[in-house]
Amino acid sequence: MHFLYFDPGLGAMMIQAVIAAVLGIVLFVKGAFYKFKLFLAALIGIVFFSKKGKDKVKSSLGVADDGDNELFDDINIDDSDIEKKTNSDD
Amino acid sequence: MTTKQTHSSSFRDPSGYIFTDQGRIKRVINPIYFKQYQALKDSGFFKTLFKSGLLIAHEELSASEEEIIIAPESIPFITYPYEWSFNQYKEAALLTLKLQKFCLEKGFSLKDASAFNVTFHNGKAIFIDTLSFDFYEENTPWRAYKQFVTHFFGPLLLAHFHGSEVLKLISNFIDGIPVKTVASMLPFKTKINPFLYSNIHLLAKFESKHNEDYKGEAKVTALSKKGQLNIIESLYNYIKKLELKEQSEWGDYYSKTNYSDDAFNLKADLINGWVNQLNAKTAIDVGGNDGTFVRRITANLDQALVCDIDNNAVDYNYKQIKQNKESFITPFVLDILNPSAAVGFNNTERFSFLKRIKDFAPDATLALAVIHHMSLSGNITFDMSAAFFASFSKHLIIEFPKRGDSWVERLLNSKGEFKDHFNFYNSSQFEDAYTKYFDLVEQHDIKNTERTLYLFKVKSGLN
Repeated sequence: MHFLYFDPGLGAMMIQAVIAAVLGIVLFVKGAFYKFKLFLAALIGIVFFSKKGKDKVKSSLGVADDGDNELFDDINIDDSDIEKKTNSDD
Repeated sequence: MTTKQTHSSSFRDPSGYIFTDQGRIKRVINPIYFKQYQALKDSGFFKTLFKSGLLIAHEELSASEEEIIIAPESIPFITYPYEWSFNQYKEAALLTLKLQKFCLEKGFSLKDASAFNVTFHNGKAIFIDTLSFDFYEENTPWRAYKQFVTHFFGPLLLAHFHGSEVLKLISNFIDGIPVKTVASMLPFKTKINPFLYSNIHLLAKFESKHNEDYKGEAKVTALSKKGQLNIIESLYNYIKKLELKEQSEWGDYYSKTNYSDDAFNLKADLINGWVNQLNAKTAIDVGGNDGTFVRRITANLDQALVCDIDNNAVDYNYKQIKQNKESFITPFVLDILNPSAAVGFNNTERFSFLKRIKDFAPDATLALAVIHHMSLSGNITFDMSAAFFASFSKHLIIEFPKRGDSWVERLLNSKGEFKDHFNFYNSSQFEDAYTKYFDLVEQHDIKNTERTLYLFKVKSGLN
């Protein structure tokens, strides 16, 4: 058997590589599953119990409300003038 | 018919063009755009936007069957998207969305959403392309949606995930960062975010598919006005909440310097006294951090430009401008060792920093605590920096930290075995080089520091 003549250092490297690969896959799947769980939880509204969670869900769905951001105002433009407009600009 | 020469940046829109007449910017409107212009004018659309300061105001100078000529309000210094801090960029994006929503409500639509249609004036973002508004056609999607993503949403997302430096990419991609490039640079988790998936990743896929459609068989999809408004509002709310994750290099600079309160006040008072003495109306603070020293000037400045390499310092300055409703300060991001170049077709579409600052011709240039960074970090000789400042300054207020200053010591020590190469860095050689280009008006040591303030006047004929 050629295996018996493998250099011990090389064998250790190979084992390490295999373990690293397995661990990598396990961690990746775990991470992906965690994100998927979060996503599902968000969708079914579990995190709606906290404001942060609520904001995160709304943000990920692109329906976040204005909140208390002071730097920028809301999207609407005051057009009271335009409604009263009767003549053209000069 | 006018024979005025078109401005080098105004060739893309058949609706009209801008030209310069005795130093004043004017805009010609071609007959192809008369209907839209008249409708925008008659409905009070323009007036509302002028009043709210969201669109540059204009005055109609003449109208004939061949052309209408308008003169927009003058903007003293144009900054480009690649010179904006993160929140400035956000404001420009939000302004574009705000305008599109307003347009839709009034029966119009933005026909383009270029970031170059926006600049900063009177302390806020302002839309400067008067001819960007067109009639809304029922059930048609927003024609400029993809342009909005490539000019605004994509760059802002990239900055959110990778830092504000990414915003400089727009200087290379003046037609917007391709959606495919944006998608490829975003982390995987953005693919499981329904909002980002639909606005970026899906768009990138559609774009690839569309690029392969050589026969032009792609179907034109319909989208209700309500549907479009929902998309605009969701983009607005998402962008409004976007933030940077990075820490500032210079954000708390003044707490790190070796100034005592007295020395700091003395420096501010000296600068203020000199600016008043010069009766300056315009100024630029190069490496001006968060605008602290400009705010200490009591002279009635019409316009003060404050530029700095650090996004967060500029952002902090910008936030103060918004909060204090200051209209005379224009902040922007600029690396003085690599100022913005001229870009675009024929290298004349977007002007270089040097061209713009020479045209602006500030009465006073402030270069405080910047020369040691130029000389010791950038290896710029005194002769080079003096020539640079003399090319656009009438008066220069410059602070020279001597070799005993802790920042200078730190920079010199970082040079290792090349430290001796920087023996030129001393007051005497500094004065020799600068007096070739400037006349020394006054100099003052700042007590209890290793720093000297100089007031120079440029030699006649040099700029």
